Amino acid sequence: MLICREASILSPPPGSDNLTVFQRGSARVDQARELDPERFKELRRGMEAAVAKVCPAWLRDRSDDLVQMAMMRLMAIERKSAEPRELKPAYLRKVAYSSMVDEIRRQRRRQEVPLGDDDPERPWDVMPSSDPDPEHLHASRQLGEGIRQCLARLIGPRQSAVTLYLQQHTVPEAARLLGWTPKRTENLVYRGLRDLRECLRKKGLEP
Amino acid sequence: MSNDSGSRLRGAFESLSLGARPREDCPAPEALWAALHDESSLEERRSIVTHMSDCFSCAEDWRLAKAAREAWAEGSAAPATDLPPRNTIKFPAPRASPRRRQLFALAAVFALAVVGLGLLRLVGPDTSGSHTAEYRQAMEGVVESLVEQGAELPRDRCLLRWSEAESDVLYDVLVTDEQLREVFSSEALEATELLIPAGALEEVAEGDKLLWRVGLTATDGGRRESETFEFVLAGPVGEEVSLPAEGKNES
Repeated sequence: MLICREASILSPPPGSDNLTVFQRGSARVDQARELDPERFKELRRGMEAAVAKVCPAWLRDRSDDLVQMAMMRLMAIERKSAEPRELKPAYLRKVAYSSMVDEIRRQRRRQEVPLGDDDPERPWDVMPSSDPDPEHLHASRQLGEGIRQCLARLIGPRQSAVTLYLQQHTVPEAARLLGWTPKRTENLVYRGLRDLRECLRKKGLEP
Repeated sequence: MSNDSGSRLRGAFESLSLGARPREDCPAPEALWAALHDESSLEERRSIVTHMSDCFSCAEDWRLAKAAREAWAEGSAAPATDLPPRNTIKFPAPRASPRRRQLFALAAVFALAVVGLGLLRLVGPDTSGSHTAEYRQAMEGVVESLVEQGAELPRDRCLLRWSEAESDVLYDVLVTDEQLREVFSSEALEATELLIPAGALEEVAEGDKLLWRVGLTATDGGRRESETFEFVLAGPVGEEVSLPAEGKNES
């Protein structure tokens, strides 16, 4: 199990009335708190739904681990609560997303291979290639490196507008995120892409 | 510019995330989520977008949040599990109707609270017994507006700010017009400020009064509401960065 190395939420033994949350390893129980099993089940169901919403396909086989990790966060909040409170689905999704990204980042940091290595066995590369053609992939990454350099040279507003374009945001969305009018955003995307392409061509890359 | 070229650029940009490492200055996942969901200030959103232009670990984290939001907005029962295919552009769907219903319910609760508060105040000091005192005590001092009551706020920088209540609370904000029709709302905020998107104010005229209140979901149980605050919508202050005088078709 990749995620739940440091902590665990035990399932209640058959016939048990309560659940106990504790740190495995150190076996510290001073922060343990008795939780109502129904309350726990309710939270667990909510979190499973939240993780299902935020979990990408390539992480689906780890969704149980992600639920556990997110539940640990929730339990920390619950411990501080005098009484059970309603946790909205929007909040559960936020917790699920944050737990997932935290774990992805931890795994990324643990990767000790140099940048640019294409080892297909690395499980936490966030964008597993859908392109089986290595030559095409190599060309794409060359173009990507050119984009990185050229994007850094764009003036601020164009850089932001083009970044959101490359992140597949529509003009209205980018306008909302950046606080500009749609018209202005459209112009900045247009001009930014023009600059980007010119820069790439100067590097011998065909955008 | 062809769609094919755009797809190539986007695919190449995504490829930069392969093997990308998080940096020390990466924003917290919560901050990425908040920025994408309009729960942070304009400055924070711009800062995160600038960061993403050079941090491809965060760029991927952003795409994950975006994919999750789109799946939710589409109301799909299926999980938001697939990254957008490289050669397609996925446009977001409008907000799902359940959320709208939830917001209308919030507006109704808000309306009842405002009417209730008004009635209690109308009753006056002669009948301000213990119930009234308790009610007002519950409403006041939960959080204070850091925006001067009745202040004019520009529609393009309509920033609501309030005092921090306590640790481990999440804030909901509801903004309505004087007829208590919802203008904008946001939920599960961690920050004590909210920038109302200019787009949400398109149907509000300059000089109109808007009401807002903050709801708190605290870890000590229960939920509390702030007083109702108000501000007046003013015209835009203008864009911060002027565009070069070049035409769109000049290239």
